[in-house]
Amino acid sequence: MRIQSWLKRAYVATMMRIVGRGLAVASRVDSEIARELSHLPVEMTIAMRVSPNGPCCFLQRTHDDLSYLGVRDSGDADMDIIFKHLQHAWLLYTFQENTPVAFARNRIVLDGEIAHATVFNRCLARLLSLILPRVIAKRAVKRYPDIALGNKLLLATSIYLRLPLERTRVAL
Amino acid sequence: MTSKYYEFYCPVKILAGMKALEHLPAELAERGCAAPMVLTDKGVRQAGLIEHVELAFDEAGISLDAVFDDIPPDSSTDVVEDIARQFREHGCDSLIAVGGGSVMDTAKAVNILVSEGGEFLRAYVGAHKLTRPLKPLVAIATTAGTGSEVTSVAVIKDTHKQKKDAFQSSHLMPAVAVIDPRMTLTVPPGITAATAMDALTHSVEAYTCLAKNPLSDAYASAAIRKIVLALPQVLANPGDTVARLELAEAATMAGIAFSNSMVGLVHAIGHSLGAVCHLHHGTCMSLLLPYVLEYNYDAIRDDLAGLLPFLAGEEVARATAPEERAKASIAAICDLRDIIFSATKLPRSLSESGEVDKPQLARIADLSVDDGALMFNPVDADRSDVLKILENAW
Repeated sequence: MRIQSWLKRAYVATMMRIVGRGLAVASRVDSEIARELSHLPVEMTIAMRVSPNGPCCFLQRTHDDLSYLGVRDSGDADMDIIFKHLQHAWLLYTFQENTPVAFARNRIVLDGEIAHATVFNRCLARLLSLILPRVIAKRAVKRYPDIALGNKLLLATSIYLRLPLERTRVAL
Repeated sequence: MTSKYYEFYCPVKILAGMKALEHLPAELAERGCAAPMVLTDKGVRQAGLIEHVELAFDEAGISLDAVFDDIPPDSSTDVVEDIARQFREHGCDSLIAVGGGSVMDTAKAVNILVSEGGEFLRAYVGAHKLTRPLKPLVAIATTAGTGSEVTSVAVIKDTHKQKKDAFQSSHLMPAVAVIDPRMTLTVPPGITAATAMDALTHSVEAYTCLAKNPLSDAYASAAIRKIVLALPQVLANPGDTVARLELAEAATMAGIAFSNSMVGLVHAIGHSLGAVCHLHHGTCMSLLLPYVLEYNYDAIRDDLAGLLPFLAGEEVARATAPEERAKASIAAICDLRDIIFSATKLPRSLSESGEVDKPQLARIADLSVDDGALMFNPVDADRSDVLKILENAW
């Protein structure tokens, strides 16, 4: 594997872990994300992965929050969000494209309920709006939310501080 | 550097024009098929439309022995599995769907079972579950609106779970679509107008939403011109076969456009409005289209301006100042709705429909924000945004 490909792969894998763990933390820290997640079925598993053998991460909605299940080599999920190529995940995680644009450009295949995907997309957009500087977040989401700077900083700090402590959990 | 990218796919052979049905026996023979099963519903049967199909085959020396004409408006897995069993019992080798959206969806779902094998449809729910071509499916649309004859999606109610399952695969697309004006000639003016507004909305959303591309733009804009010109003619003279053909072609072109570039917020709200208030889908589209375009205005201004020649004609577009063209496009759609209202009383506002109660708006907004079509809308919308649009449409 060329060094450029290896670096790209490593970056995407790292970002997937950050986003996966970030969503799990945010499900306990941010009431809006918690409210959105309440619309998903309990025990529903969510996978984000790069086809065919690229980075992946798994999450599960529990009774109380979202669990980060870590990286698994294989396994079915109730909702699979599959990037067709590493380059497509790279565009998303370097914030050159947001998720709806990636869908519109056929870079992502969704296997699962579309209504669940729209909920998950709102959670993802909310997380990115909280943890990224406004100028970058505006590129990462379709519409940057109306959020006070103080509130954003408070929530972002809570998420970043808890991120290293977030454990990989076992699926229900 | 732009990372713009698009995909466009339409493998459906389209037979369009006067006496198009008479080309069908040869098309099936070319595909090695001799025993098609016809799927339709009671309404199509009672309207005498199946007779056109039967006659076309009879004159070719082929009798259509296997006919299922009891597909309900809201088809289900039980119906699909029953038809698949009959298909096998009759030793059929292809399908001919004659009807609207429910018949088309049912035929696509039956084709999954009879081609892939198995008794139960639920194994194929979701996207990209089919990996090989299915048996030849011929789609003969009897309304000019849904575009189902050229789309890769089927929605079927799971009888046991009481929920709707979506099936999506390029293999679901019919092999052949027939556009014959005889098949839409008896559609009443109100349904003709509503289905045409559905096709117009497919085109406008295909042209203004996130997945738009040059090829879908070409189909969408041409479809809009045909609808704007032909619909008033059909409403004035329902027996005008030339204008009927134009409308049916436009609906198919709009179907090709939106199946490659998706639809947006009009459909997201429209699906919910239809589900809550049981309004015809085309009526929902007609009610909401101008208000969603107003909501998206800043993001789609240039695209809307580009549609003016198709909506109002070249002369009007040339005579309109460039900065006024986007607004003029919305006005042209409103003018068309007024023409339709004069002819058919198709409502222009939610209150005018008489089918919507204000307390239902909250439920409609709740459902709309979870609709997949919202993903492709150029502007995001939350519950309060949808409520504002519904208030404007009231």
